[in-house]
Amino acid sequence: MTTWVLSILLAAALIALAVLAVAHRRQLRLLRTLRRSDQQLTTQLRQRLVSESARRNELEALLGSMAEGVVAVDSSGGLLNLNRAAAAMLRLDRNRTLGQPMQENIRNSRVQEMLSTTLTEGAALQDEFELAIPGESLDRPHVIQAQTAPLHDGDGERIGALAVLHDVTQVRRLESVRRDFVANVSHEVKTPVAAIKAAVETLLDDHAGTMSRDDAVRFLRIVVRQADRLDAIVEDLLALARIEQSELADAEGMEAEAVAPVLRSAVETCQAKADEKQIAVRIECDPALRAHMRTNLIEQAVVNLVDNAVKYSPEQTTVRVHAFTEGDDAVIAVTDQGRGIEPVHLERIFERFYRTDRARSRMLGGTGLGLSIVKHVMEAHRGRVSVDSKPGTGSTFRLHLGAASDGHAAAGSAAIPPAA
Amino acid sequence: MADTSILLVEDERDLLELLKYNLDREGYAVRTAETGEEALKQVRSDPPDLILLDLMLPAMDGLEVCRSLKSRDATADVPVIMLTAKGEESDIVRGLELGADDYVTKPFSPRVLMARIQAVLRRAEAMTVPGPTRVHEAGRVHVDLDRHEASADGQAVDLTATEFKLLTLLVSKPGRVFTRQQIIESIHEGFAAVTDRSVDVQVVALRRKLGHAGKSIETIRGVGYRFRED
Repeated sequence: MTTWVLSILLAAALIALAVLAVAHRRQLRLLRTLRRSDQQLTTQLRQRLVSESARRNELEALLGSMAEGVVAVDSSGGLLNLNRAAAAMLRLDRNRTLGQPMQENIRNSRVQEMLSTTLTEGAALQDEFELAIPGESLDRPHVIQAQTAPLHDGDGERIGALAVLHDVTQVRRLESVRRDFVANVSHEVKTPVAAIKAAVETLLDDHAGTMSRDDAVRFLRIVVRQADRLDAIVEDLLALARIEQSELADAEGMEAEAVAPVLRSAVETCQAKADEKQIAVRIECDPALRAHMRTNLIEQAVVNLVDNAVKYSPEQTTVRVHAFTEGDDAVIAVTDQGRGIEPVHLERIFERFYRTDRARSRMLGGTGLGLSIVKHVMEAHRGRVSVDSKPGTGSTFRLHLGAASDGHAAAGSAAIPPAA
Repeated sequence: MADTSILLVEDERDLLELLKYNLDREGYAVRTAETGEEALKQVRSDPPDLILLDLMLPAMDGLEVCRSLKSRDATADVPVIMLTAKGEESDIVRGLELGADDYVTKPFSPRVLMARIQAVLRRAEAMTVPGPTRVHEAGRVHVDLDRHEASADGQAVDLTATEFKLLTLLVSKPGRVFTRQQIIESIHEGFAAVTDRSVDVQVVALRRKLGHAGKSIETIRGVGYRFRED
């Protein structure tokens, strides 16, 4: 009996122990799980923090790399964020001004006004104004296009305002260049047309027949001369348009072509005018010299340079057309012994219709577009044109092209035998 | 008319030659200058009766010459007709506001230019008649300043004070173009904040009230208004 009871008790104790053990194990497991999830939580939290700061960094990097200036203010006008471009435009120190009221920091009144209006009225605004950038000339303020917009949180509550500042100086400059070009074309075209019309009407108005034959011939000559001038202007404008088109078409590689034949052909075109003034045009070019180019365009550029050289040189002088390699460049240099160009004009002579002496240029049949065409030809070749000039001594214009690296080009750069 | 002298300022030789021939033929005594500086020198030493001034001159341009002439008492009254090939009206407006009397755009007809010269000379002569004119008569419009009355085709026209001033200004110099700015200054004596647009509104109202005669008030696009000479 007692053994029976004892065994029952023992069994009960064993069961209890087992239950306890199971419970304990479960507890342990639970604890372990808890610990694990705690760790997970921490890791997740840490990860989230890392990704938060990564996102913030990302945002900073994004804003920082923007060319546009970005300024954000809270609803009370405190500076929330400011990217590098905005700091530079508004002369603000990013570290010191964040959290500060914008009224005391943004000194540009237009930006401040726009932000204030957007804050109070919730309206998006756009405006354009000039802004002097520190460290740059005050004469050339930047043109800034500013846009402001209200900032809303997830619930649609207005929490501040954002300003984006866009520097449109270059765009406006190009627009004004184009406008000037149109105005110039109109002037350049209307002047010969005015002379032709005036000449013809003067001839027609001679009802009484009192005009002398000499006068009549004189006026008819004006008509011919001005018609030629109009034709030359149209030709040059068409040439410019063609070159601009090929600038787009030939973005990728041009064929390597021999330079010497191009020079010979260009000089041939100018030969008659040179002969009239007994000017000798000498070509010096290694027959093996090759450059990446469109031969018809380069020929046009060389014709324009040689034509100018002949026009502005006294009689019985020499014009030298010399091609050689210089580093990776093939260079075509046209040197004259002419009147030279005053330093004040040097920077502008490649502009369309810019003339150092209008009356003289017209008398010589110039359109004011020759050098501009040369410049565009070189731009189409990803090359450049440069000039050296001394008044009274002469000028040298150089065309820099990519030389063909097929061995021929680099070889004979030291001593080039004159050709033709 | 041989005693009427005209200074021709033009750097385009062919045009200079043609204009000189036409002016000679009309009987004017013609002098020429190819630069702005040369023109000023000539005007200062011996003022002509009228200046034909090309605006596009090398170095010192025509507007600069005009400003310089109008800023000196001795030369301020010499009438100036601008010659311009520029498509931009802003130069014409600036020139008129500087005091130029008229302008002709290239290409022009020599005959039209000769007519303009005559009109400007006539107006300049009228200005030298002593005593202010109290009655203006232009085309079908009649303005009496003393009675403060205006009539068109013999019919009295009821005008507001501003419209009356506007009409008086335009008919005082028929053929002359007034810029919007000049109209604002003249009719509002400078104090009211008037916009270019309100000038346009006044002109439209005035034209309507004048009936057929209102067609004489011409809009010169981009420049201003004038009362057409008949």
